[in-house]
Amino acid sequence: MAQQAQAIHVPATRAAGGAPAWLVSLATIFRYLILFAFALIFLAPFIFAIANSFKTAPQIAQDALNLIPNPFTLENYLKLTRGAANVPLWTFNSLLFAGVVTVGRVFLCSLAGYALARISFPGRNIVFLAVLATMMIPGVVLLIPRFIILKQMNLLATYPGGILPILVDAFGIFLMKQFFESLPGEVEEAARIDGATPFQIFWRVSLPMATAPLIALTIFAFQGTWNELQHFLIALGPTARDLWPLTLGLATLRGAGVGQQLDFGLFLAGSILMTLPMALIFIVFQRYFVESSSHSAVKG
Amino acid sequence: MKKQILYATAALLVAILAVTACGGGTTPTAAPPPTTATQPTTAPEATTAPATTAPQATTAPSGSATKLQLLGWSSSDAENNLLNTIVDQFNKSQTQYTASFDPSPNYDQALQTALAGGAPPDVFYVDSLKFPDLMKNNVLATPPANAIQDPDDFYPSLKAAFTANGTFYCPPKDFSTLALIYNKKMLDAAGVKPPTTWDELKAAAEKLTDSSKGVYGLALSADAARWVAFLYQAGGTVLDANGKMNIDTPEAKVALDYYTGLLAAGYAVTPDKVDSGWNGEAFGKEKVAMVVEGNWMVPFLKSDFPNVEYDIAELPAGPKGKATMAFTVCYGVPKNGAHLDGSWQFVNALTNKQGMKEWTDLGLAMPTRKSLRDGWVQKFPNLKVFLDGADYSHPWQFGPGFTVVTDAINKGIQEIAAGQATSESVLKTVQKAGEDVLAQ
Repeated sequence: MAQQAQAIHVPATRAAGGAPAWLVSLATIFRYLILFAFALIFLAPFIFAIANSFKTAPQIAQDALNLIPNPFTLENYLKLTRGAANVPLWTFNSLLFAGVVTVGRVFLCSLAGYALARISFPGRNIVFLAVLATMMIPGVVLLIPRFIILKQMNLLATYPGGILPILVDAFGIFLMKQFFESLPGEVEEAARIDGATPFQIFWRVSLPMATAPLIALTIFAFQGTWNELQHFLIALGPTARDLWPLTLGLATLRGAGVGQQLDFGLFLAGSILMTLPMALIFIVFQRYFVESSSHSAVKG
Repeated sequence: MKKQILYATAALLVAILAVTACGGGTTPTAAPPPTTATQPTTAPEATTAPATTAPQATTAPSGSATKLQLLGWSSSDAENNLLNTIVDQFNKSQTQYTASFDPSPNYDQALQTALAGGAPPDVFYVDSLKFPDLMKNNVLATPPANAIQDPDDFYPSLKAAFTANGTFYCPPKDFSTLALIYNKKMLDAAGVKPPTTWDELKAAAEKLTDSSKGVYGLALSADAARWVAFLYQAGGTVLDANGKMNIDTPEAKVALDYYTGLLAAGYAVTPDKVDSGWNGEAFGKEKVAMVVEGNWMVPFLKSDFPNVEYDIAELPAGPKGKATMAFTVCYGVPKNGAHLDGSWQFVNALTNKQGMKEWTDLGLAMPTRKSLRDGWVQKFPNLKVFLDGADYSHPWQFGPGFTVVTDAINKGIQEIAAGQATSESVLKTVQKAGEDVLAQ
């Protein structure tokens, strides 16, 4: 911490152009204090969740704010593997859904976005507006129609039924279209003169330039699917427990929403388990994301 | 330039998404009513009848039998397991049907979608508060003759909760009532006996309150499901005999003034004032000496606050005598169910005398059949007060769409406690809200 502060201190002095050194270091300390405070605010819920997931029920009830579990217990985590809970299978399902949907969205949304941005065909604007319009409809309104459609297609409580309705989304198309429109057209023209087909131009020229929005889209899609509850509840239903993703499975740990029956320890253990992979993926991707974004910024 | 803006926007969106995702948890609602339950039927008993299937008799029943789905919500592990055991017994008792219990998250939404989408479960939980809504939408099947074993054996108030236009639609699987739960040590230390009237309750709460130590006599949440018990004790009602909204009455004012008066005087607190999520938690933390809660407190205190010594007394009588609330859930069968015959067999297996006995032998759910009362009380003498409540209880049920009205009551109690409203204005608002809902 002190070293970091020092490192920042040096260029800061130069930038400040003659401000007294003590004032600059004071400002630095102050800045770090603020950062530290905010980091604490954001991290605190996770820290408490982790601490409490290792406590017994009476301890949580009486001393939820204590960060040291005493006695320390793994019981909450072990309970996740017993009884009606099938956490390994639910985790697999979550990964499957999130993985397929992410690949599908990245591919299909960029295709659609490219078509809407670069290929002119009659009714293009109307199609784009129709896509946008689906973003204006609250998701709840679609639940029952979606259920009926899935029922008619015999897709209720199947993997395809869980995946297909969310395989493409309007936001992804919108994001990709906006991006492709911002690319300089000359590069594509050059490719076209060289005899590339529209798909080749898309695949070989435009898409490689789109790493930043693609990574954003990946994070969105993965994280959105990983956390999705309502859609899976309707598409998979309460019977198909073997197809459930973690969100549905862990929601049953809450019981009937009757507050007094909530097993906090178990619930927190499940939440931690569910948050961890997401947090890891986000941290990894965020690095790529920042890199690629700053990289192109320099070029641009 | 345009590009940077786009990147920045994308980055921002991702960040927002990440943050909101972290906050997506649902908070547990405080103190709803019904506990758990489903009832188990034990043995097959009379249900089997001559229904054995012809062709598949030799093969394993699971392969050929018709599937029955019981949609409900999840309770404690102990209860889920017991219910599954009882469902298994039903499956072994006959070869025609294979039933399964499917607890669902977001129960109301799951049920609504299944009903509206034309693929209803074969049997499902119906909360007494929601029963009028289901009647209004005409989704429940009328039971065929003799589908429900000995219907007069059910407590009249519970039976009435699931009766409409003279038809008893679905047998209640179990129920819960409210009682006064008190901390023995705190009452002994203050030399207070468990109160039996409103005046005694107020005096006891005053004596037990020591605000310098942050300890109060009573926890009273801003919750219609608690206050309505006081309303009945004062002789008031929510609906009159004709089903018209009738809450703007002198009796209701007495009840509301008493309830909010305890809060205003500082002898009672809402649980949030003592850093608790609901009344039970405040009681477990020994911040309050008494609470008005139901039998769900027993397993809760056992698991979360095993060292608190408590006892249970009837709710103190009001100016017009004793009253308590009964929260109950029945097994409904949908009108357009695909296997009505099987559904009713299954429901009967769960709620006939033997099935209900097995279901309630855990001591968490209370039997809704009078004939099981003595045996149960013998087994769980400490819970007798809750079961006795059945004699003077009012079902937690009003009209269709009444969650709007109960919300208005909750809000009203809060506003009065905060000094932002008077009991007259709140009762007028609630009366109006109820009239509007009933007019729809």
